[in-house]
Amino acid sequence: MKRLTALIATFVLMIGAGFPATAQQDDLCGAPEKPCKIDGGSYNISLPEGWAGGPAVIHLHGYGGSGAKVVGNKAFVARITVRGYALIAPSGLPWKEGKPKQTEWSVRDGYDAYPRDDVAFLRAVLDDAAKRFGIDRSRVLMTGFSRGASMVWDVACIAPDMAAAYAPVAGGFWESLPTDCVGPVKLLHTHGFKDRTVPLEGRRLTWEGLNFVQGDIYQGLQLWRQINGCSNRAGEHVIEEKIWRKVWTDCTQGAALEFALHPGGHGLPKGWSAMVLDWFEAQLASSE
Amino acid sequence: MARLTIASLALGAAFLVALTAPAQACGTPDSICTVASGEYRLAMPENRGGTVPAVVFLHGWGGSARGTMRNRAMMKLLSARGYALIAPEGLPGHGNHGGKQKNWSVRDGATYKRDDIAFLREVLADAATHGVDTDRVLLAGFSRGASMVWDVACHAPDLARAYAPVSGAFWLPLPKGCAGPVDLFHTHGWADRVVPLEGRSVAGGRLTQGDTFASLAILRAALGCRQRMPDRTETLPGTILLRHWESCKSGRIDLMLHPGGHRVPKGWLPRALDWFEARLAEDAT
Repeated sequence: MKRLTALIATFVLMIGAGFPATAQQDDLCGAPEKPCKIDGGSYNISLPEGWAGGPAVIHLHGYGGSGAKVVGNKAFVARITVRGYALIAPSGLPWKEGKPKQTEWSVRDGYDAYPRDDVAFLRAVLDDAAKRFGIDRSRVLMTGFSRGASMVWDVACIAPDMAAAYAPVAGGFWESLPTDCVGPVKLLHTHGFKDRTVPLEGRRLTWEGLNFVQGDIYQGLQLWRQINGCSNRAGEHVIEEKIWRKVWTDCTQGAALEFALHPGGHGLPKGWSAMVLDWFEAQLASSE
Repeated sequence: MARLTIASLALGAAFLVALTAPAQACGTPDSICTVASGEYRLAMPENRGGTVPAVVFLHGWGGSARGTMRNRAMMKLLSARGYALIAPEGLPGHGNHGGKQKNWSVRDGATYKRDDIAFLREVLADAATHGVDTDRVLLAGFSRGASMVWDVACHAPDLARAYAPVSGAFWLPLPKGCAGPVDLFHTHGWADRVVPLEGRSVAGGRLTQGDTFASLAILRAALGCRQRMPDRTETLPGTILLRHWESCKSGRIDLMLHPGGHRVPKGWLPRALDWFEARLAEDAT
């Protein structure tokens, strides 16, 4: 009987989401020690219990991180999978030969020798995950932390169609700031008031003899307002004990922009996952 | 005789009024002080020996010096701490916006009948004759008055010892640079919808409030601040967020964010005075 139920479930899955039901989840790639390999790189993935295909969060790690470390963070994973989302965690590449631990994303920051075009790579990751795991490409939220957040800003600017919405934390454009983007997006940016690694005003830094400048987040938000067709004045302010949000409510149809400021430093504030998933679901509901 | 007495009493009374009028004309909250290009009000502190420091407070668009003086709590606190309160009067119908609202000649692309930087210099020169120590002046203001404070800080940095604008910053076109370093303590509400932190277009799009963060970036350049990020941040009970730029080549910037809207937040004045007195103490050392 149990077996029959499993078979029926499998059948439903096959019809419902094109999930490769012949394979047991344990046999699939994705665990920390068993990344899914594609051309040019790899990613890890954690699926919710009883996964039958569905929405996903694709999360880009910070400088020096990896997909394995992201899916190895059980508390982080659980807060996302418990809501029914797969968590896709691609791995950045070392920016330079001989620096295996300095994993990075090809953020537009003036350096022109990154080993991979990460906009193309991330698209390939999503294509692969859609095929292998039945990810619903119309319900993908791209998130990222620090340098990973900068990559999210870049993807949102260069390839806004890649995800349904974007929720970067503690990272933005690098200089020279773009003067234009491809089109409107749904974006919720989160940043810490006390962040000194990626300060709100940006920062000049020298890395291995090369000069880089993190952009000013407020200036970046100005560009997003322009791209999204929002006026400068936020339509709504949501003040919670630890998070102050600005919601621009008059943006172009299909665009969304929010800025969440928290009093902490360079990190994800408490309650971040629930906040962005609530926001994401409200965005999906409003565009139906 | 009786009639004559009454008449001479009346005359005498009139003479007395005439005699005392100049003394009352300037220096009390309800009287008006006049300078070449405008008016202001002055409230001197109760107990004083010698000259006193002052807070010059610029009212918002459509406000008035009388309105500023009506804030008795502010006056009382200033008096208790030994400060004069100076309330300059904006010029009605000033600028090409039309209307009779009192306003300041903020650099926003419009033309104005009066140069308010020159006017404020006249006010301070006159206040000096009434016992104000013009080396110890904090120029503060709210909303459109705060924008005037930013303009003075940027274009006439020597006018006051320090600057404390609340809920207002530069308008567009933003200045390319400022004349020199200053000490400036800016306060703004996160949820301000009248002068949002990000600015806003008004008058049918003819005039635009600048982004406060862009205003701060321009000022950091004028001060030669070592880095873009503040040297120190603080979060205080009551959800007050502070950023301090204090390692600039000259001058300093302090930013206070509160979660409220378009207003002077509770506790602003004592905090601004503490901050101002710390600057004066630095001068003394």
